Amino acid sequence: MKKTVYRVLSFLIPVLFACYWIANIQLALPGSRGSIIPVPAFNYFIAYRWGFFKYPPTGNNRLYLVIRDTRTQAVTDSLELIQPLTDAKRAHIPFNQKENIMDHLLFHASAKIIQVAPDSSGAAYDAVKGDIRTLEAYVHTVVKQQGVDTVFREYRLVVAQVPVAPFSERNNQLYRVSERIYYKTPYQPFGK
Amino acid sequence: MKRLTWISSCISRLSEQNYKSAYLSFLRVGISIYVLKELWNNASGAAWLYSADSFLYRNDERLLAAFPGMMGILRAHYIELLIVCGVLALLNVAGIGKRITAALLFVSIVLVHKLNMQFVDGGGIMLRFILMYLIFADSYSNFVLIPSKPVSEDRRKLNNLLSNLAAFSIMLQLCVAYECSGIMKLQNELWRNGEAVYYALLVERFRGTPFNTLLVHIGWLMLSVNYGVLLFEIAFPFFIWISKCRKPLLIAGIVLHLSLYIFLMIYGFQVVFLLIYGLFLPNETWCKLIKKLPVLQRRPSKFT
Repeated sequence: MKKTVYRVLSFLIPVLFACYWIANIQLALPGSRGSIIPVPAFNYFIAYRWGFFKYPPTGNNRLYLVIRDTRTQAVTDSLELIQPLTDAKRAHIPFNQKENIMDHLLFHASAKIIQVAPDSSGAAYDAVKGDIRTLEAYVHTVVKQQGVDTVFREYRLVVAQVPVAPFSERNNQLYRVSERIYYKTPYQPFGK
Repeated sequence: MKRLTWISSCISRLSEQNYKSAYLSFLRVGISIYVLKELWNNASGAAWLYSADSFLYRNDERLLAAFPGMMGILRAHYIELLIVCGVLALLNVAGIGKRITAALLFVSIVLVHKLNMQFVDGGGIMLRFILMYLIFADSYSNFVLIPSKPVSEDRRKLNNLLSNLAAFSIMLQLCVAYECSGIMKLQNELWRNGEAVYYALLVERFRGTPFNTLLVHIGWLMLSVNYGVLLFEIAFPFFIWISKCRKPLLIAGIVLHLSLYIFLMIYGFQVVFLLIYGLFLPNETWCKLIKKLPVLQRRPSKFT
């Protein structure tokens, strides 16, 4: 009996192995839309589109915290929040995992907002509502950490990008890149 | 009929012995240590990821969204979850609990990843695949505290079959990752024009060394690295199985991953990928290495 079980298993395992790999490759291939195995839970676990740097970043994202006086409406301060993080990441090489995670979160949140910005419809922004909230919440962390004066102050977030000079202009010392603003939140109180 | 005989002979060959026994042991230990390192990193961010005043807004991941209660419990006990993972990784290093430990480690890492989907990269995904395949692999012929008990001939054969297929799966997964990535890159204009590496080196968040800004001025270097990466990723899965091409491809891969490590500050990813490379070398090479190094001396085991 036991022998038969082993015999069956030794043929069943390679069959399952072949099915698994057909499904795995099918799900991984660019442009594929499904797998031969109609089990969503299985496909959910193995589906992954490998594509390291498939869209190489072409610019440096910027996240500005602009603070103004509620009484005079004059801008009192402006802080850029992503670049210091990138500098800290570089300063702590190779033990920069904490900065790396933080950079990853902020970069991807701002990148998603930049991506939907050209299509400025409400539906597009609804898709990145969570990312906007993450950035706003991060502002509160920074404000707390840096002891920013919040009395009679309100703030807005500005998401921008500074493009890298094009490849063809790499040796042109006179080439200047200009920052592009993609998204601005309305001014809001810090207590919100 | 001929085909069936061929399949049958393949199965019996795969059942004869565990062809990757030595390196699978090494991989189990290496991956478990890597998991420990990753857990340590995750723990350092726990305060601002999971504390009450965390700035992170979370869209619940699909798996955990299906169990809302579980999501809350996992977030509230994040450090405990990391500790459980750590203990399992330590047990896995010593080969205690064997496949049960390997399976539990896989499940716990999946949970950690599902909680941290926003910053799990390709290396993390590959780690998950390796851990899954290691559940089926017999990686307990070396570096174990408790040697395996003798088993019946049938069970030994089945064990070898599973182990060889698992080892092959890890290698195949690497090939799929490279090939799909290569094809994906080909669909992007910057990669096709040979400009992608230039941008990657110059973007601030990946600028790992001061040399990046100097290297990007060498146009021919940027172009050759760009097309070299494409060629490597597309060719690797096909030529790695040819013994004559193996060494140059592995060396090219090591250079590629070390460059990513140094110049682009992408760390974990490279370690996971390079750990797989050892499987492409013959088992004898690793056996010899283990014999040469007294500290790596094997313990007696039934399966070898």
